[in-house]
Amino acid sequence: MCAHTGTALLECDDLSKIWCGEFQQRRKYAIRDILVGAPRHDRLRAHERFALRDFSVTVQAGENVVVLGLPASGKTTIARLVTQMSRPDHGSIRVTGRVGLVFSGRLGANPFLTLGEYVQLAASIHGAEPDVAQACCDEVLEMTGLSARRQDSLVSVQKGDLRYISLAMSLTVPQDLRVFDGLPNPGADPAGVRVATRVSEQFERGSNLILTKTTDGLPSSISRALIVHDGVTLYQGGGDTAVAIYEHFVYRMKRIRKVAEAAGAASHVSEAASSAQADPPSPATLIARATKSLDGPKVASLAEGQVAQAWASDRPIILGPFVSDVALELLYWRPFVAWMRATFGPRTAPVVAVSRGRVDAWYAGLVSEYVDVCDLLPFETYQTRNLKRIRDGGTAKQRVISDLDQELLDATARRLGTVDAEVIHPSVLFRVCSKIWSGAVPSDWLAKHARYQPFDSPSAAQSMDSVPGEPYVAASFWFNTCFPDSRRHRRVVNDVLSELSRRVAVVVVDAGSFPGVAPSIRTSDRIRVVALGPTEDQSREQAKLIAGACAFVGTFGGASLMAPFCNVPTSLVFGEPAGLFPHHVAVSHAVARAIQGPSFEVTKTADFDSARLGEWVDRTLQ
Amino acid sequence: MRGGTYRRVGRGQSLRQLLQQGRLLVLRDFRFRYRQAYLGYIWAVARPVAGVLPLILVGNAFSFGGDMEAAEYALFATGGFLMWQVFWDSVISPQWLARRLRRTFKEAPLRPESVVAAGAGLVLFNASFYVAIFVLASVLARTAPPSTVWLTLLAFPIIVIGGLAIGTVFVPLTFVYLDFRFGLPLLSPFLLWTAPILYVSPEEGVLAVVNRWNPLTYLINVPRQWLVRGTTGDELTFLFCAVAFGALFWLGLRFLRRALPLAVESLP
Repeated sequence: MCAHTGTALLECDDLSKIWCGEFQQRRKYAIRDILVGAPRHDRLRAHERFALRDFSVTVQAGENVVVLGLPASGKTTIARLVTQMSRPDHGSIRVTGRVGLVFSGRLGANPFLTLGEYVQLAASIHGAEPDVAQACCDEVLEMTGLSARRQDSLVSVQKGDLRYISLAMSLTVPQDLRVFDGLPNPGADPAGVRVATRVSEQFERGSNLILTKTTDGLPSSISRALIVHDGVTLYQGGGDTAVAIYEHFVYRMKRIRKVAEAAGAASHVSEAASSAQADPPSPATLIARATKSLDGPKVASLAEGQVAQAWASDRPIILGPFVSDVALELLYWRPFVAWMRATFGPRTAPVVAVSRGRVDAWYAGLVSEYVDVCDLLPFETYQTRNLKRIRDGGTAKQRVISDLDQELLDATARRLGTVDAEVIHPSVLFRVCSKIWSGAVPSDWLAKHARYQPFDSPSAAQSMDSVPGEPYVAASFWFNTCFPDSRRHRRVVNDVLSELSRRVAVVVVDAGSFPGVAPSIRTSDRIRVVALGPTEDQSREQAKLIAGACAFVGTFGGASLMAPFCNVPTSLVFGEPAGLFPHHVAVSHAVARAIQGPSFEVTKTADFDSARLGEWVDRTLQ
Repeated sequence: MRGGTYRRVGRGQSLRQLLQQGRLLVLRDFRFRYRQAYLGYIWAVARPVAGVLPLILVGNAFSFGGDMEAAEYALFATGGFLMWQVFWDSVISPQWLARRLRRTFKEAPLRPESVVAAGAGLVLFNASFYVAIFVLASVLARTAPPSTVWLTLLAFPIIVIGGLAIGTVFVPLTFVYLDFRFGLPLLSPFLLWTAPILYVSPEEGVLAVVNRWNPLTYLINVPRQWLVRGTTGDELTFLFCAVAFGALFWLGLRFLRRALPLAVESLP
């Protein structure tokens, strides 16, 4: 079932819905409204309020329209109105074709049904026509991995196995428009992955109205987005802009709540807290402020506006938390922090960088204070939460403020003794980067908003027991998308190590995935493998080893990119151009050019020549 | 007055889809009710049999059938009671089903009409047992059915629609206050005894007047006569009642569509 692109599938005009929050009163009103009819919509009775007021939205075929709002802002009311589960008190809804509600839950299940019967019931409740119902059931059972259990009673099926059926069915039954009441968050198990893939496919197809409180997992293409709060539409605009405004809004709202809580909890109310509580800005004001800082619809302008606004305030600024890939931190985030420092200068209120790996030295001279994530959370907790963040968001990049980020921001603010700090989150930068990578923003934006500086005072590694008491070359190899695990690449690693160890001592920095030293290398006694597995100071220790080396050779990406910042001559290899992100390579070269110290080269393994590498090492050792 | 509008352009869900949904909701209800019972579906037979037997005994003892023979009265009372039971099942089935689907109605866009379709399905299921009971009663009474028996089959959907017309109105009301559910059984003896279902209508007196003005008299008595005796002369009145109940049913459906979302909103 597919409507032509451009067909208006949903037109809501001036919708209002009144809600009575008091249960007993609500029942009395319900009976009266059923039997007699309700009074005029603009006249509220006792305990009544507007759950939604003058809400308008249009969804055309192929579009993804997003409604963002905190809990109890009116999103579910919209979903219920559009799917005819509730009646509007005012306004009109015009629907073309069929509307389906995407949600999970044990829909109409009772323990005496068989799994096959339950799936049929779910298909029917989701509106499957009899001629497609059986195909939908088969598809859902296959997606959830339960095809062989049709005859099993629901009593004998684990709850965990059932959890995706309703969600999968709501994505499978043909509909013209789907209404997502919240973003589905399937787990990492095989069935969950298949359901998540189906969600992504549905987002790609479009014709969706997505109602969500979080920006994690939103589709990449959003036609329009609205921000609702207390039933009122506060903002309507393009997807990227609205998402950025909403995140800013959520952060500010949480801060305001915390300020109010802090003021309320204190036995003697401090002056700062009481003044902050005295006049908190309204949600509409917060949205207006965030919108004002946009200066146009471009995300790039938003980033600049947000930074300028934060720097102009007299509150402390938190930069981060940075919990993503180390290469992204080195190539993009740290240079952006350096640009902010160079452009806006020092400030009286503190500027605090939050990152992980005990990398204080990287931010020395750029910020007034460094806070490590492991000062705020135990390392194991951080690791688990960060993995969950990546899994939930589908990417390691911090394009949105995740729950983990929010928690770290709160903890940092507490540590600073404030409840109202300005935040420049990595998402501010990476939203622009994604536009640059897609070609929507010129790539010279990065050059204009980055300062590539070497680490201020690279720590030497001499004090480390694992380091030889003679000059050494550091090496770090692991397999990734641009250097996949193959016999050829393993041979390259061994050739490199063999060539290097014939000339000089070699220290291999092993972050846990080094393929190993082949026994065939005759000079293997000159190769020392230093295991620096996941620890809370992993990045600092890696940087120390690299900073103390005469040269560095390794796989392109990750910790290898520390080398140019340590003024260490660097030679990186890759095998598959398709797996290499050209923007990262370009920025790496820009880093090397800007630092102007060491030689820096990136070589394809097909062009790799051990003799040439030997010459390069000899040259750098002189 | 409050009231926004909801308009659908193009194809919505079909009648086949509604009937399929009704079928699956009936299945869900059966599984829930009868798989929890050791005797299972036997209860579907036991209930009407246990209901009609004492009435036949009492009716015979007090000459409810006038000058009818005992066996003739037994068949008369059984036929009437089972038709009444079809009517009453139609009244209460939708709200039984709807009460058990409260949570689903709150969570999912389930069509309000689906409980009516499912209610009709439940009635059909029970009616299959009633037919079997009546056939057995006819065999025991050694009575051959009259030629008008096929007319009863045509009357059957009209009796169901008559019951659903009342039951549909109660569905949203029972969502809000259980008083409507508790009060509904009180209506049962009133309706049963104000129509000449278990007795022959008297010629005169208050009961004769009540019988005459009660539409149930014609809705049940006429098909029952077709089943056990033949034509009655009240066929035109029966037709008029059928049209009236049909109109009531249509209004009931409109009421259900308007009122059920309001009732669901009132749920905790």
